[in-house]
Amino acid sequence: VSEAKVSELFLKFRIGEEAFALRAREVRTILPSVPLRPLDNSPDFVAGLLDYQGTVVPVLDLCQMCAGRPAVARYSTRIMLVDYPLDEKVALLGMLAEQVTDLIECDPEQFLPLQVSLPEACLSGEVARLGSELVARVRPDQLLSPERRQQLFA
Amino acid sequence: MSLLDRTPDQVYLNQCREVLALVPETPPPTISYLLFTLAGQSFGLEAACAGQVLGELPLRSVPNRSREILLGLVNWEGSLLPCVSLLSLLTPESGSHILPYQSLVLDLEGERYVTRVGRVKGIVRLPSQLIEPAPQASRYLTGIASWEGEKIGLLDSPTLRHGLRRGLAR
Repeated sequence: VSEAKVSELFLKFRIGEEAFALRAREVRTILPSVPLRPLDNSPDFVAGLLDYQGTVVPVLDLCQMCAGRPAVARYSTRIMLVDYPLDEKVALLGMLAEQVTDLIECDPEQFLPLQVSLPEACLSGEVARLGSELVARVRPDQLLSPERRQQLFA
Repeated sequence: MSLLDRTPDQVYLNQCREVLALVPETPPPTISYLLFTLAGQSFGLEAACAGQVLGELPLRSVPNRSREILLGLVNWEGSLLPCVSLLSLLTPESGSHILPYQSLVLDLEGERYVTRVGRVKGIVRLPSQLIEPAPQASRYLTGIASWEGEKIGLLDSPTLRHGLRRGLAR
């Protein structure tokens, strides 16, 4: 008899072949990958600026951050809008990723922190084995290193 | 190849971009009120203060009381609540009894009362721009709203609570 576990919904997406998950509660909305206004002199991982209901939202290309190439143009490539905690307020942040198509239900405790400390692997702080693959949990607040954060929100 | 694997249409994406850039209109602020009738007049009570609407409930009278504000006690879900007459509080000239009536459980900041009202019309969201200040003489009203051709007296719950407390202490 399996014990009743507290399960939560996670939004699953991919960067190339690798699977990632984002807590569904942290996602404000999911948008098609509309054309963005490019930001000059910005690092590669900044896809551009999105005009979302009168708010200018920076959008990060997770494929650039993780795989070093821009996200492919597909209908399944989408922008996930999340609340990004900034000192005292909350800013909107967009994340562009591929295969943003699935919601999965799993126990958040299945995601275990990595044994090795890799501060650069900011997308894969915690990993869970779901089905036959490893899924990394993305935490929006750990997405940006202090320097990158400074670049974007200074 | 499924639709999701196709290359998106640029016209579609540009349309999406235009729609996303639109600032949504903020709806005018509203306050939820439970509307009911009492001796031919319409009143509104903040929906948060309305606990439950029930039919007629048997009343246990309390001896040696004037039955002006306190009509008696009512067994509501196993607890005895004072049954108060809003009618004698709001319109003292029209007596304290109405027939037929519906019972309304009031929850005034944790203090529970049962009261009798003519007919509960339901909960509506009144846009705050429709609410006008109440005349000074009406001490239990916070405002008056015009709703579907009717004037609705909006009850001020803190004053109502004080009025009921004072009435019960008498």
